[in-house]
Amino acid sequence: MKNLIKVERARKSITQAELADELKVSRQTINSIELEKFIPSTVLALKIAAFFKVKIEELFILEDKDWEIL
Amino acid sequence: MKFSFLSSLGDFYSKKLGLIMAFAWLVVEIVLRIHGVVDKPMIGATNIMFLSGLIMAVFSKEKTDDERFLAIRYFSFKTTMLIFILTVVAVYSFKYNVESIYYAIGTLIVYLMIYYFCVFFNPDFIFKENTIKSRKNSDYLFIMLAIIQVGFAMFWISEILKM
Repeated sequence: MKNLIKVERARKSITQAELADELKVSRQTINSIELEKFIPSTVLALKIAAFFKVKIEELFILEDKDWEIL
Repeated sequence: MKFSFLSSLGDFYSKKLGLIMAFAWLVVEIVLRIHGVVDKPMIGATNIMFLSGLIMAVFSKEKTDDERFLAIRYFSFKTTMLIFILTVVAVYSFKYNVESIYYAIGTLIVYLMIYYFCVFFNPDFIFKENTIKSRKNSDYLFIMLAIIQVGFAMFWISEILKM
């Protein structure tokens, strides 16, 4: 799953640490999500989308491989 | 009886305290052994204190605990379990220590029982780890462990002063 958190963060000019503080998660978690190593839960994904005031499907984009069986 | 303490973890302070206490008791034991103290009840009690320090460190959260740590914790427990089983099998194979294989069998049976209990009954407490905000039962457990640790440390200091 791709995401545009880095782009939105750059648009808002905030650091990973600042975003992490706002969402009450660790900076490494934000970094892992941006690097697409870690897929956030629905709650966290919704919180991120709400923080950037964008729709969740604009921030997180499903790829073809995501439809494959886990 | 509430089961939330089974699915929730202690706060970050118990991790820090647990690590400090475990390290302190390890140093105590090393010093004891260097000085040739073979007082078995004392060494045994020190081991128990070391173990309780480790329990506090392992079963507690990070300062900013989130779902990434849940995934990391799951992987760590799974890997540890595998290493434990392999170690037990190795001990069993080379030393024919029958007891050790029973520990492995018992551990896996308990795992299967808990796993299938949760699969069939789907209890809500297992999904609430991140949502419990009030004082948790696990906190009382860790406070109790901390009190035991401090109490034993004071007893130890008084014993040393008597020498």
